[in-house]
Amino acid sequence: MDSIIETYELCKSYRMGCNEIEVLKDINMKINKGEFVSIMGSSGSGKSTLLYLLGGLDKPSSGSIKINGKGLSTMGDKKLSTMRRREVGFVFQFYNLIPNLNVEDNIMLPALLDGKKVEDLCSRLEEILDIVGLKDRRGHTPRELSGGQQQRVAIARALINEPNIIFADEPIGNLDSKTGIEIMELFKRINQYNGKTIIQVTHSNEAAKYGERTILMKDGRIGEVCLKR
Amino acid sequence: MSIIVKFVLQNIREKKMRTFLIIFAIMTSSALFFSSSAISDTMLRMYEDRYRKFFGSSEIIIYGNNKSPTPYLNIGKFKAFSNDTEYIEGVFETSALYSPNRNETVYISLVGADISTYQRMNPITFKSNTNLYPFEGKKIIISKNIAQKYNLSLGDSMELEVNGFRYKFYVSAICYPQGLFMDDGFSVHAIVPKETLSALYGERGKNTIILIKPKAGQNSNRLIEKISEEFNQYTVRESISLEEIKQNTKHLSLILTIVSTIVSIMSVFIIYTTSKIIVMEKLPFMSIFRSIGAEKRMVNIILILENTFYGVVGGILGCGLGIVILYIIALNSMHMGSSEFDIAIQFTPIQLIGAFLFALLLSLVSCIIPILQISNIAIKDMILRTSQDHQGVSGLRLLFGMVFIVSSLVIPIVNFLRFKLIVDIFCVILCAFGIILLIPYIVNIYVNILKKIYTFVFGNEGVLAVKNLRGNKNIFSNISLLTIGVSCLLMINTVDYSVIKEITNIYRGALFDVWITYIDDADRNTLLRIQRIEGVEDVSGINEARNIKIIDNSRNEIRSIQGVDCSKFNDFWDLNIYKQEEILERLNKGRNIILSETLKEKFKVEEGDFIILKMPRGNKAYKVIGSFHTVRNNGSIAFVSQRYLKADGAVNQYSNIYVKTYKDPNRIMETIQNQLRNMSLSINTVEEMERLDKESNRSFYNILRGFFIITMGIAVFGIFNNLIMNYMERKRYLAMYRAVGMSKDQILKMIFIEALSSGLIGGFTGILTGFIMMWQIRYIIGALGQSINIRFPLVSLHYYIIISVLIVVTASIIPAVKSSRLNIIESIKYE
Repeated sequence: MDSIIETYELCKSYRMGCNEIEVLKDINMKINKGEFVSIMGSSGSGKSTLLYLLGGLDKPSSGSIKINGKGLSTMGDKKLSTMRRREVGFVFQFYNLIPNLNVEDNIMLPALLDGKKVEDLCSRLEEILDIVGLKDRRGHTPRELSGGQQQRVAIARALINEPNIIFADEPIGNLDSKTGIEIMELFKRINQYNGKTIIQVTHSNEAAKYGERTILMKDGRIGEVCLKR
Repeated sequence: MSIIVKFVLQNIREKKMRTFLIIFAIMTSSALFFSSSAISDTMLRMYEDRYRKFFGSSEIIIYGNNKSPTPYLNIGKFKAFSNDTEYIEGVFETSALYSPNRNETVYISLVGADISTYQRMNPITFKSNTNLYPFEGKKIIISKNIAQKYNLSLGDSMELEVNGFRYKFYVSAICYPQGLFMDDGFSVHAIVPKETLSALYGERGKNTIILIKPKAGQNSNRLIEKISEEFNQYTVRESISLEEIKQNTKHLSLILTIVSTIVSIMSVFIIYTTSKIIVMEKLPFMSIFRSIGAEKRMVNIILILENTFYGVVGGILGCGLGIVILYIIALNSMHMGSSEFDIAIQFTPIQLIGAFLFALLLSLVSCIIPILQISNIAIKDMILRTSQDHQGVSGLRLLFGMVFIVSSLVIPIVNFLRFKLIVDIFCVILCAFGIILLIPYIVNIYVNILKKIYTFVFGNEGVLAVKNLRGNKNIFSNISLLTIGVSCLLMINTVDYSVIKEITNIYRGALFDVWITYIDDADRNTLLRIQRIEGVEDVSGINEARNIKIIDNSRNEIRSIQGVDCSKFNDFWDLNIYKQEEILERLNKGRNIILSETLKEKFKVEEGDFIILKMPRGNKAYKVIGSFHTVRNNGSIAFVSQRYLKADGAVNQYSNIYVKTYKDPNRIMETIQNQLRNMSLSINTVEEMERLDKESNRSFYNILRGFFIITMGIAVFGIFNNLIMNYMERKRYLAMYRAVGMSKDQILKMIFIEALSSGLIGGFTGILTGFIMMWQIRYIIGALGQSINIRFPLVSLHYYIIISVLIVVTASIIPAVKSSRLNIIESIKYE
């Protein structure tokens, strides 16, 4: 299968006073197109850091990352931003929606930043609103939505530019179990029917089970990889 | 407790810029508060000093008038009142001409006095003297400034022309510029022996003015009545009317109070936002304090203590700055820039304490809301930073905003008689509050408009930027600050511009070239003498009756009723009245009067109505036949026919003379001055008078502008503060933008478009508010007894918008750069 994400000896360390803390150590991994991968591990194991590095939100201390065959380390801010808009989508634990923009605007945000015109986005918006089931909430602002609805908006936003990859950082960490299941089912549908590659970081075994593969991290290294049977 | 103090001091030390900003805002506000409260006393003192220059410590003066059998008074006649008085002294005053060189002639006010008694009344300090005593013969005492200016030393002679003859006086003493010799920029004084001066007029030992100081505890008004009864053919009055001075200084004090109030409102805004930043920044520490058991009270004490520190320091500095500002205002308002007039500012310890307490109050009141907000946050929310402001705009805000604005427009129409002025000022403030309440709604309207424009101009980033303005309290604060700042500046500039236009119009209507005013003893002969000067085309003299009361309404009076030569007036003045020539013809035909529009409105009369004037020769009914617009004499001016004014007003001499020339007006002016050098007069070209009037007007408005520029300076800091606050609050959202693919350039673009939009909205709303406020200002001007046609300086309106935009864009640089450099993960994860 074609790999869509590749890392080579990826390292990340932070300076804390005089000490250097190594968060990620020599990570080598490949994620294939259309895969649903869960990354698990205890707090401080480096799973979120890995996710942010893969998504181009942070820079590695050494090693390299390739997304769709393109190395991130050679990209400047402009290219990196374009990559974040077009090739990946992010879903965060705390939704991270823009409070003063309504549902439609929040969803269209990456496309608008990409220079697309609102009128050209109408049909795509309808399609996505249909997928996430928020057609009746399109004019509302985030503070008028429940947690589950806000997370659906975040997922819709991640999908608007039809990226191949969706990164999710504890997407149900802030939701009740029922809503969490609904969101995971949505991810599953997006993975299966829309063919998107999904990489999620989670603490929840239930959520991890939605992935085809679970990468377990420990002390900044990939410890174990479990495949779904 | 010591840990709290330590923590507070540490905070202050660490945030030097913020400390400076908040102290600067408090300092400026309290300084303006102090200067506006003390200006009245200072002006009162300065005017009093000005008058005291002439009258010393005397409280009553007596001098001759038209009814007096002789202008020369014998002091012995007043000895009957010596039981009631501390002193009764007399001086002989006249004017003399001194020509230091061939091309220059100077008027000198000569005071003939006995030096020892004069020293008791109006002390002077000798810098040097020679052979001064006995003070008799042709000795003269001059000021240091005059000695320097004309290079005169002790023993030098000065040839003076007195009563048409030339006499040599010898400089016997040179004095410091104090008392009579205080330099007021326009008059020159000298003291000579009274015996000598009175003898030159053939009135040896007599006086032109009697100066009296009542004994301590004596009521000077009762003494005035007593003397007036006996000397009813002479003018007996208070030497200095403090009431009159108070009236003169009232306006400036009032205007400064309005300015100070607006500055204070802006300061509360600024200090509030700064306090909010301080509270926000301290939230993590506060949460630690609270989580380990600190009570709410302790946390509040920390914040209150910090703000108390700012209040104390700002208050102390504000008092110092206030004294400086007071001095500058006093200097400017007396138009004494170049002279050595002693600016003695006057204030009381209570005013200083008041300003200090005001600073403290300002600082504490401004921090109360943030403190209340923080004390209501649950400890869990403080730790997790999960508390959120209640967003959204309440409908009450819209309702109150509308009610305030509508009330501020309607109330001035209602006449509250003696409270009218206060009510009108209150309406300006009410209007400002109304606008501030409506800012969120106004921003929404602008957002809808700008959204459409920006789509084409700035693309999607522009639309996002403008949408970010909605519901953003920091942006609302900025727009409010800009709105109030711009509207106040526009208000001041509009009044200034309107007054300048009015002055231009006055002089545009003057169809002559040289204007003689304050002339004494001018009659037909004087006009003939001027007429005979080569180059003089025509001359017209004006009689004038001053402060004429209107019967039936004792509160109203006309400051100046001018008797005009109807056959000539049309050639000298264009009053911009429809069919002026025809009206002037009618003016001549009976007791008719042309009123200024200000008076017409004040007396509530129409053409055809009669007004009864309390003229020196009895009450006379005059028919109103027309009106004209002017700001001369603050609009309290009317014209009647010369012959009726002579008959009813007993004024035979001309107070004003207009001269037309076909030659250089300056040359003609010089010639007239030489021809009439034995007369006391003030003469200038119309062009120069216009320039001087405009300059004097400018200097007054420059004070106000200065105040507002300082205020705008504070506002800039406030805006900067708000933007930093905005950045802090939005850090997470900005990181979100970055996370979903916004590049650094795009984020910079978005923030600068936000700044541009805030500037545009603030500028436009400020202009609009300025226009609305002018409605109330029109009534305030009316309540001050003046009438000005308000003209907006429309051609310069774009500057307000440019300035607003520049302020916000400049203040946005740091937040923009910070935003583009922010660490996405840190901001998303930990904010």
